[in-house]
Amino acid sequence: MTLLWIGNVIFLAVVIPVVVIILRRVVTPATEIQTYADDITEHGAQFAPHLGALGDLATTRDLVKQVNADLERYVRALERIG
Amino acid sequence: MDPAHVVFLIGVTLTIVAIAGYLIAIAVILKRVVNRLVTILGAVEAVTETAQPVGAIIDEINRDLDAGRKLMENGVTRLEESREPARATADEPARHAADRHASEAPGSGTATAAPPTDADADADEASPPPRGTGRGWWNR
Repeated sequence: MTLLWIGNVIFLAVVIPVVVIILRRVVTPATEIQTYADDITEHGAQFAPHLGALGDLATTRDLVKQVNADLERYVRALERIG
Repeated sequence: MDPAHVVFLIGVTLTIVAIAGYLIAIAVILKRVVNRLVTILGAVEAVTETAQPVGAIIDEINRDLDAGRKLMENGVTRLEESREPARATADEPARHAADRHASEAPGSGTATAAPPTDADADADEASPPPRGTGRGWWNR
């Protein structure tokens, strides 16, 4: 019976705290990962609107082609005048 | 039941409850993280799809701009080359005229013409220059 009480004391004073410490060491990184994931999601959501202007690049390309055509006409006109 | 057994059972129960609670907390956290990662993965895929054709478009824009720059440069070069002979021939009479004007500078000779009157100014305004000798409105 005495050994059982000694075992109970060791169980309550050592085993349970050790289990709790080990589990906390697992939970703490998981909590940090969750915080980082929330942060990435929050800032990643702001990333997509900044790329909306990429859709206008096709318009820019077409405008540059038109400017080239007009520039060619302009140079030819200048040569005729000169 | 012996009190020692009761204490032992309480201890085992506490341990099991603590382990179960922490494991449940870890499972909840991991589930949230997975959901966030799925959201992030979708956003990254969308960004990748959006930015995929950008390289080709920018290359095309750069080529067009380079072609325009070369076009402009060649045009300016041809204009300068075509202007060079004209400028050279135009400089010769200008230099002779400058020499002639230098000899007629005030104080270097005698004045032979009377100063212009108002009647002369009116006559100049009424009669345009002869046709074919300039680029004014009367030649259009």
